[in-house]
Amino acid sequence: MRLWNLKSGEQAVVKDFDKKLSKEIVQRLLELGIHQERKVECLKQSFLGSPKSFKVGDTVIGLDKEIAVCISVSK
Amino acid sequence: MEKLNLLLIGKPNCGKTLLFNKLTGLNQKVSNFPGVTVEFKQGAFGDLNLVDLPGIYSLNPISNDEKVAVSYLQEALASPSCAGVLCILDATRLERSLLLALQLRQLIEEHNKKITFALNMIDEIIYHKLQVDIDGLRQALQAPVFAISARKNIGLDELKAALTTTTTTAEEQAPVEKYVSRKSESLTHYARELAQKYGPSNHNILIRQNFLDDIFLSTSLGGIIFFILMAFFFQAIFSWSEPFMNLIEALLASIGSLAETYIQHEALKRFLIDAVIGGLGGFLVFVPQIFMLTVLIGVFEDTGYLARAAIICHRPLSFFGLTGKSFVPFLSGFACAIPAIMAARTIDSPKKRLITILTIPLMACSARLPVYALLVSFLIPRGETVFGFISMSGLIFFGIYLFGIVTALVVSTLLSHFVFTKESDTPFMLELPPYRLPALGSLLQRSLQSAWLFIKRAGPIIFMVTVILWFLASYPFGTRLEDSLLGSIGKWLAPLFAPLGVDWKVTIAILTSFIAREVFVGTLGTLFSIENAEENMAAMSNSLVQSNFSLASAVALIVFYAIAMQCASTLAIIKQETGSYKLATFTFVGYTLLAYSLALLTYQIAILFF
Ligand SMILES: Nc1nc2c(ncn2[C@@H]2O[C@H](COP(=O)(O)OP(=O)(O)O)[C@@H](O)[C@H]2O)c(=O)[nH]1
Repeated sequence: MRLWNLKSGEQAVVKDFDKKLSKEIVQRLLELGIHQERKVECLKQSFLGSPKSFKVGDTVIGLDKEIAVCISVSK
Repeated sequence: MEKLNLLLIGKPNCGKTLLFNKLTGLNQKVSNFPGVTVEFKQGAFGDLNLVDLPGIYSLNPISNDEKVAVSYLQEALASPSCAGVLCILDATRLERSLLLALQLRQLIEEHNKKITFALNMIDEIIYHKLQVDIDGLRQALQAPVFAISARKNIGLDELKAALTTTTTTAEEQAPVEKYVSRKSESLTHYARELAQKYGPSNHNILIRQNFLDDIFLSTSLGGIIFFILMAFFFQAIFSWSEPFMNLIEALLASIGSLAETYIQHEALKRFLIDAVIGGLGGFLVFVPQIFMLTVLIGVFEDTGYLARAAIICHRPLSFFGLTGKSFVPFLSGFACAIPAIMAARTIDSPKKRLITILTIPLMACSARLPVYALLVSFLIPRGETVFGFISMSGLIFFGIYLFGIVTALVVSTLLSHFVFTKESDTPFMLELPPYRLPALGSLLQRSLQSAWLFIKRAGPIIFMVTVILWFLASYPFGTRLEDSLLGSIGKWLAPLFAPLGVDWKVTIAILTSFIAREVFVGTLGTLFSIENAEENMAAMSNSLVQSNFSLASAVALIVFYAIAMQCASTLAIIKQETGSYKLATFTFVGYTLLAYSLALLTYQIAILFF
């Protein structure tokens, strides 16, 4: 399952990053707290395909589909 | 002795600007144009020189803004003139702040400088009855940590005292091998560990944010609220600044009449009234609008709404090759392209950043306002309304703004598909800051600063142009304008713009406005007032009528001014930000040609109707 598939209020644990994501991006995701085995909650589902917002620890992050489909999660 | 520099560092929205203002008061120097915090601001703080750096998330920069800050930081730390770093942590988002804190701690260690931490937003922690273990953090970071609230003035005195006394030197701060050996990934984990151990449980704060996001980012309401806020934004800029503009106009008029009565020397009198008041004054009138615009953008920014607006706009904007992060620079572009282009540094995708930079000049910046105001008052001289309540001029203004935006979107699509096809792109990733009430004092200070900088930048140019023009237009002294030096130049160049139906005077105004658009009105003001001694808008548009200026030409000129790249400073900043003369030239030539051909087309179509 992909991070992008989460609906508002759903939680999941981060599993892996696709190779497609550049090293810089993965680095920043890690710094924002999105790393393996971390619990992520989808706060706000997007409308019309705009970025979704996710809560990780004390941070809320908006991610667009391009990134969020490259992060695999499990519930 | 040179003052030592103390660098102020923190992640975006940690309250850095507010703390900087609180520490330095009015002793500030902005080296260049203030975007939001894109410029280096410096301020005297006791014996130290406080340097405000752009907000960064980590020492591994992604956006240009971060790159600027990180490279400055690294250079500064290597120099002996740097006393150390004051790092601000956001107590309500401790984990994110701590990562940067740990990275900095490590870097500082290598350079043997002093570091102090300020744990800001402590008022919110108190308000929500949460706890932070300051001593624990102090131990973990092996450095002084002060709990403060820049907003509520909590703990500021202690922080100031600690920063200005040189008690702890770098040597006295305990060495911290445990960070030095850590890899960046384990720092992330360590930050999380520390946040959990010593930080607050942020449940309440996040619930409030969540509640507001449910409204502002909601599928149905979100878009509607966005449009209402934007409508309010533009309405407010115009209506709230009007009383101030009237005040300035009245002031200038009375200075003019004073000069008329009391100054005996004829040439000096004409110079004061025609060149100084007619030219420079015509531009000063627009400063309140710039001020209001900066205030309103600041309010949106400080409340945290701009990040939401970026999310809302991302999808539609990406359709045109832009990103949600282009929204803020575009919005600032309505004030002035220069800070807007600098604000584009926050866009991490190099491709989208370039596209945003090159299309910002199409936003109807405030320098165009005087030009449009004059042309619109010519089109709609009696302030007609539609359905009895919507002002016709307002409607036309709206149309002009829309025209700029639509052109920008078309151009950005073309650039994205045909020009910048090889540039690298970065997907959208943005931290949503908590919703907060803005600190009005600091906001007003910032806005006054940018209004003042606007005057300082544009004022001298406009003054010089008007003085030269006035001289050319009056020489040989005692002749009529038509027989003056300027008259001959104008008539010689008139064929250039004759296809748009304008005469030599307007041609001169168009040409001088290639230095800066607002010069257009100043020039016409100088030229007409030399003839008629009048300088307000209505009188000026009257003079236009007398010079056989047609409605079709007015419309064509509006189109021309909407697109033409007539601002030397914007070109300079494009060169600076992209590092490319080629792009700056390309922008200038491209937009000028496009403007001329579209204006010509408009005129040819318009004369069929008017
Ligand atoms: N409650 C609270 N709000 C603060 C404090 N310091 C700053 N703010 C607010 O946080 C927002 C961001 O502050 P700003 O100084 O612009 O942050 P910067 O992006 O780091 O420069 C503004 O709305 C400030 O009014 C504080 O100590 N407590």
